[in-house]
Amino acid sequence: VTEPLERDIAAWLRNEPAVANDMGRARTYAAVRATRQRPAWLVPVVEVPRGWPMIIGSLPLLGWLLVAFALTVSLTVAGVLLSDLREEIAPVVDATPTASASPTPSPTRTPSPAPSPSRPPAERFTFQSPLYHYTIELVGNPAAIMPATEAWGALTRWDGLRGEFVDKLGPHLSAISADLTEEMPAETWARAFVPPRVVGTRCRKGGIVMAMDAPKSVWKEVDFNGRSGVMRERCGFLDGVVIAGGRAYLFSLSGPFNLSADSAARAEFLDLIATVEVMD
Amino acid sequence: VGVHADLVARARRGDHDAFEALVDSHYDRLVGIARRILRDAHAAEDAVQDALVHAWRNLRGLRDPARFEAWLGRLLINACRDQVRRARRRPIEVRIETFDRATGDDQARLADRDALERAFLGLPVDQRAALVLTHYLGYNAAEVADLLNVPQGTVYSRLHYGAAAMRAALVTRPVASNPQPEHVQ
Repeated sequence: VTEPLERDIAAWLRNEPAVANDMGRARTYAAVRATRQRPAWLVPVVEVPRGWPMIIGSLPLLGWLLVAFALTVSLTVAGVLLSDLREEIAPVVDATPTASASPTPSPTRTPSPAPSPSRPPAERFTFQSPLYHYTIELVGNPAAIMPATEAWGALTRWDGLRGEFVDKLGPHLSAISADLTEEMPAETWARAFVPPRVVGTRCRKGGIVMAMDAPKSVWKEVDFNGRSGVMRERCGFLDGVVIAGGRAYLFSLSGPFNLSADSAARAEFLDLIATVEVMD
Repeated sequence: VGVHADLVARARRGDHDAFEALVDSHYDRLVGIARRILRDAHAAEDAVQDALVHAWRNLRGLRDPARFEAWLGRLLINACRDQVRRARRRPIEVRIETFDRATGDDQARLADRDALERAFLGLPVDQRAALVLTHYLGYNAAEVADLLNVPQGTVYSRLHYGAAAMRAALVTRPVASNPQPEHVQ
């Protein structure tokens, strides 16, 4: 019964053109020529069939997945250990902790309690932003600053990229400003344009906090060199916003550990923003 | 085999001419397979294009040049699967058979073909691929299993269920398609 049916199917399948269209061939080759090859390291196993059972059967890919998993675990553990170590042996930034912000820049600064002998003494200097209309007094090496080179589109949420950065490897400060399209309180602007910080491994105390558990931001009033602004503390981030001269200014201190639980870091941040002069 | 491996090696270094030389001899066959699986000339060409572009993009990760053809075949089946997914959103190509005066045999043949077509299009792509590779290309179960990266038992199963569905379609095709005697008043 089966054989005649198979013959019918075979005959029916043969009843189709066996030669391809030359235009289709040319179009295909043109599409290939317009495509860039991926580097070999991006394609560990080229014979990766689709579908989960087939992926399981592909040992090289599984190997890559295991390596990625092991690396992730190692980095997480190393990060937590480093965070513990840093909190135990050193303050977050080498500055005198001051509990409250002062309305004028502090003229002097006490050196860090135990400076490394190989490190040159930190010097105080004033940085003037080339794009964002403010100055700030900083301590350290002026060459460590990466001034912003591209202005930020004010109507989009800050993406963290187009700001100035100071000491990007450790705790670092980034700053940015934007013209306001209409007058609004600092907190309103902050809620609209400062992204909610993802709560993750930086929240060390109390274990790893998942992003889903992130509480809503609480913005508190804070002093910006005599101007009233708002400030938020979120795990690895301290964000401050002030409105002046029709512009909104955002200053953000971040680091690879829980800044908001660190009184020294908080004091340093308040000290920093108290030195901000906006250029109306 | 040496020339083949050399072309793969050159194509892996970004040589488009080598890649075209490599796939040129396979192109007609690839389109033929895709056309039989998809039953649509345009979709078949699109599937082959997708498969070849994918092959070119990922060629540098191919560790064994001798497996190029098998890999290409597998990419084509995947591309056909994608085409079937997309086909739900576009019109189906209908091929018009033209003949002046149909005899009873022609009508019966057309009815059979139509029933086969409908039954085949109702099959999953994996079953279609197994039928095409077996009954059109003449591959044995081991070769089909290697190409599709499934056990031989799976190939037999796909062939069995595919053929059963097509047999059922032929058995239940409309009687109205049988030729009727012509009465002249």
